[in-house]
Amino acid sequence: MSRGRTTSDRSTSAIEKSLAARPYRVSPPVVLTAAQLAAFGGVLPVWADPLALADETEADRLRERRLFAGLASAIAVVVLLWTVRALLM
Amino acid sequence: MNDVLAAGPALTGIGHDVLVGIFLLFVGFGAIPVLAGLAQFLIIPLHALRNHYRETGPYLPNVAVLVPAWNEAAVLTASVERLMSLDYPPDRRRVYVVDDASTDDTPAVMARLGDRFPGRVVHLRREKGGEGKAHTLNHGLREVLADDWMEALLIMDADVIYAADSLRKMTRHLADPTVGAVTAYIREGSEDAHGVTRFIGFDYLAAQAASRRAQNVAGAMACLAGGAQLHTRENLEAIGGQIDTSSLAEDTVTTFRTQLAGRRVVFEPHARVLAEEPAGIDALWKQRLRWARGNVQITSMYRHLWFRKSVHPGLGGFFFGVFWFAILLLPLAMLLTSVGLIGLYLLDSDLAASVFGAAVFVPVATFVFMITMTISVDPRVGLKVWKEALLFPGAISFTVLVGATFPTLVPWGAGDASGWTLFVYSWLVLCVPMAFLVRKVELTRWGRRLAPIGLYLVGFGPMMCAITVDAYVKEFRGAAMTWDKTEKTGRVMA
Repeated sequence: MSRGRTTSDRSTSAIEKSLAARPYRVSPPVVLTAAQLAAFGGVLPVWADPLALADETEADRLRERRLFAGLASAIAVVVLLWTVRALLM
Repeated sequence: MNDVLAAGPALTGIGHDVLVGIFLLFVGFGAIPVLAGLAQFLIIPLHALRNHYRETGPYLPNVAVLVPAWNEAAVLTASVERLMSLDYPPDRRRVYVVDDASTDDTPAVMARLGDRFPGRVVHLRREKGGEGKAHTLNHGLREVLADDWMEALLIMDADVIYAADSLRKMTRHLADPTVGAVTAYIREGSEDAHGVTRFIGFDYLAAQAASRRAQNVAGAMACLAGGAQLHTRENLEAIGGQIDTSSLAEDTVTTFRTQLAGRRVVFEPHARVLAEEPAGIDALWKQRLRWARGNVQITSMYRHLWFRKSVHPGLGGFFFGVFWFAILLLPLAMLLTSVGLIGLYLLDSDLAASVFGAAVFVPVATFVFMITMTISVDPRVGLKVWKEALLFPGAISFTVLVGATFPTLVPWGAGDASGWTLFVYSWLVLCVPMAFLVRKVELTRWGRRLAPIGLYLVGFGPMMCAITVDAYVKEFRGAAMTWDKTEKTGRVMA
């Protein structure tokens, strides 16, 4: 049986709502001097390039699709096990 | 009187049926952790669709890295050097090593590191130490929070090594104002060819890379990894600016407080961190006993929360509650299953055989499914530890399961096999005291050679169950909450 909402629960819910309404956090842009850039071999590091950061995140998001391949293999192994068992029994 | 005597056989029959029903319930109770595990692993693939990546942003805050250290001189230099070489804006990270009154070379090591990285590596020393990690962290937290510079705080262990891109992969989630903390994927970092660390390698793969994805999907995180937790400043202030010192699981308390204070906790599977883990059974036992006792304490501390969605939609949800108690009550489930099967065997051996035969494929299939799924989330580690994955329940249990799944293949199935049958039914509970024995064996003269063999025979899973039992006993007795620190030797290399 639920004990219902309490004062603290309502405040938690209020916090969640107020946080969701806030703007996204931003950090100041990274500015590299010529000397700093030279220290990185003339190649802009990923953290200094917002587009590269976005690409990195997108690549990680897409990489998660491999979980479907994992699911397919896991199901296949169980079906194989079942089949072998059924054949031997 | 005659009526009562006449009713005797009928009453005996009712009693028999009631006992059979009770034993069947016992066996059914044992299926709960199996089904909870299966449910958890079935939702892991949903992480491909339901994750936090679309809500991230290119956020690179000023990060203070807090490293609690007690006699960590062997690992500190490598750890700090690695932090200094992370792919993250150099002027936006500072390392604070909180030295818990170390008696080794830590002060000298830190003085050298401070000279090499002026203003970016800070040595904070406690003159009175030995109170545990939470007190050490709190000392550092007071210093770091007093300075407005810090926007996010990374709490880590001295021995862990972060992949170069891991910090920025964690901070991107903090762009979302609803996120309070982010944790990373901790990998067992030694390259040991066999033994305890290989089992831990699989354990981390299942409990972190796999299980935490499921927790991301379910919207409730059980625990931020102690060696990799990134908090926003607002979150730290919202939870009181201090780490809990009343329990042995301060990481879990921080995780619960963060979520109960209205903020999300996110697991970032692509931020990878290597950690050194115990190489011996006794050291592993002490570490996991601390974790298990902490979980027992938290179960009591948050008793108002379980199965109450009104308190928190994720932590108080049915899924999270079942998942939590399935682990905590696993020893009880194993005991009841064993008692149920033995009881059924004594009352009606054919029924026991039918129940066991019909039910055994479910845990076997679940086990195989979970192993394959776990290996697939990180094939590089998975393919290295697949043998330990198969032997996770122990070589004896593995043989029992193979024998039960393919009865025609085993030579002991023919003839009068009552001794074998009773052994199979009772092994589920016998393996727990055997795990205690393996720990004792390690402390003997021949322990170094015999204990690993014992571990492979009894299994890592039953050992974790034995540790949970030990945690219950220690909590019941009110044993002192000692902080048995895991000895670090710097075996982990990036």
